[in-house]
Amino acid sequence: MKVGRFQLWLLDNVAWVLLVVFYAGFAGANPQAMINIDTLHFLLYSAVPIGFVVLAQSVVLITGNFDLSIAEAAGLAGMSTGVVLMHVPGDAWFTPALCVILPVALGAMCGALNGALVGKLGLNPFLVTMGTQIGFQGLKLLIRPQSIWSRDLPPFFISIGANEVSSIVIFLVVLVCLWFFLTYIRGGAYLYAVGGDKETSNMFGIRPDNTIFYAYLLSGIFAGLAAIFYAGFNKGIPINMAGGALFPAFAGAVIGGVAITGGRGSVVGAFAGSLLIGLLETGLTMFAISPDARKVAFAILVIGSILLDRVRGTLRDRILRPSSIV
Amino acid sequence: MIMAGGPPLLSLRGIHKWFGKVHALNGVDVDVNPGEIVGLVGDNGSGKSTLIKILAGVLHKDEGEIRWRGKKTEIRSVQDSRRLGIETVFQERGLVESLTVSKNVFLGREPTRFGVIDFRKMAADSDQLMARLGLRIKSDQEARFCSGGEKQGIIVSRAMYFGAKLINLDEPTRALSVRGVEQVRNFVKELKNNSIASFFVTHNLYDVYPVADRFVVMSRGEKIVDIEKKGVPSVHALEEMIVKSSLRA
Repeated sequence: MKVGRFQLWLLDNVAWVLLVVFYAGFAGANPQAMINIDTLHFLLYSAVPIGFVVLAQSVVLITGNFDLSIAEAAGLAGMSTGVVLMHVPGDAWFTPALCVILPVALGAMCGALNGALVGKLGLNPFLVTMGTQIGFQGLKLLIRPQSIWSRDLPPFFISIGANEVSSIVIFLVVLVCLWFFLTYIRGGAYLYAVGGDKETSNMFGIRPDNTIFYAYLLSGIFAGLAAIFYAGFNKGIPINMAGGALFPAFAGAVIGGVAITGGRGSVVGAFAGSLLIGLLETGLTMFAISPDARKVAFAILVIGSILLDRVRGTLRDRILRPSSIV
Repeated sequence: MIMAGGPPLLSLRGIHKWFGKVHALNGVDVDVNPGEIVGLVGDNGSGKSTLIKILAGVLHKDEGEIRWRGKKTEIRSVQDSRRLGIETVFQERGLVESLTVSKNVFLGREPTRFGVIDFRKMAADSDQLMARLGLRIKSDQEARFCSGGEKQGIIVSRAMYFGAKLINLDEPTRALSVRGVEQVRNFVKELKNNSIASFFVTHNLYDVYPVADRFVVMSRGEKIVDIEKKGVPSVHALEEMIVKSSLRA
């Protein structure tokens, strides 16, 4: 029994184990660069923006759905906010509030659109979010087809995500709040019920259409938060902001234990997944791996995460199945 | 059929239901008394599931009258049905298999303290309920690892906990082992001990015969037999009665 519990713990925390393994690997290859408090600090900091995208993908995956548009929603929210903020005096009393509320509200609008189409109208999540991904990207380029740098933006907007310590603290606070919501609050716990079995949940008064709508809405809010921290990390709003984040974020969530089929997964595990993605990004950059080779590495990671999801499911069943019904 | 204490718990009169040209229920009358186990028997397409769906609020009757404890009522939704004290469990649609036993018992009605789900109470109450039904399943076990009989037990315990007065079990013994069928019978008896009436819907007379107080047999949308168990000497006598009645119908 104890062996089973350890195996289960290992399965649920495989992202943390991989994190240690990869870190040890990179540290073995370049101890001077990796075994360094500044590097560890940077690893945590660089995981924050993609961490928000991982959380955004996780809440949708838990309901048994998927969102291909998250990264572009972050890009659209960031670019639209940037365009507005370019015309707002940096020292106006409302500017700090606008710097936070605007991207979050724009992200929420993107999420609400996906939620209405998938949750309320029952359309296929893959096809819907593929469409909105293209739409958000096009809209972003229509609004402004070039990057916005920090000199054109209110200093407060950049400062939110530029400060390493505050970025990490804000992310951890959001992570703990989300974990608490999903675990201890009915509305959050129902995401798992709907992801596990839509029809049965409906029979018990948990409306899948509303639950899925709110999951996408929450996901959009996280995409808006990601935009703020990408802007701080990049010291501006690059034209391709968060562009490559979608599939690494998906892999991070799945490696972290969020089941592709829905109904299972922890956002704390997803956080470990975000750290792993951040570590790989940093490690591969540090060893001067070309961008094309990095793409191949992340493709392997995405496919690996899907295989891991399947193997983990089979092993979980084997460990948890009581001997009486084998 | 009315008990000395008052009107029946549920009284259905002249229930009709059409699906296009198909007359799925043709003027069905049924009474259920408090704590009574009614075996609702019939082949596929006999109308028994349609009747249960009307009681559950999933389908709406086209004609007829529903009385609950003597008062005329309408069941327009699942919520209406539950408000009256009717719990319905459809075939293979009673549990979210990836959730634990206690989460399934309290699904949609989790106890909270200051808005926070009280998992300790859920686990303690769930363990108590399982023990009462003689089930040795832990509250933190995922429902998918329970046997068919145990799953029915979780569903029954939920109805008991939330004070249901009538529980509709739609084919609860389908695909169960002999032991599972016996378990379900014991759960139904436990419901009766708690004055909870039940509709035990099945196409297999042998599954329900040992526990039912009354048998309502349906065929092609009509009630062809409605008899108390004391009027039936054996399951074979009941079978004969059904054959004769269906030939007449």
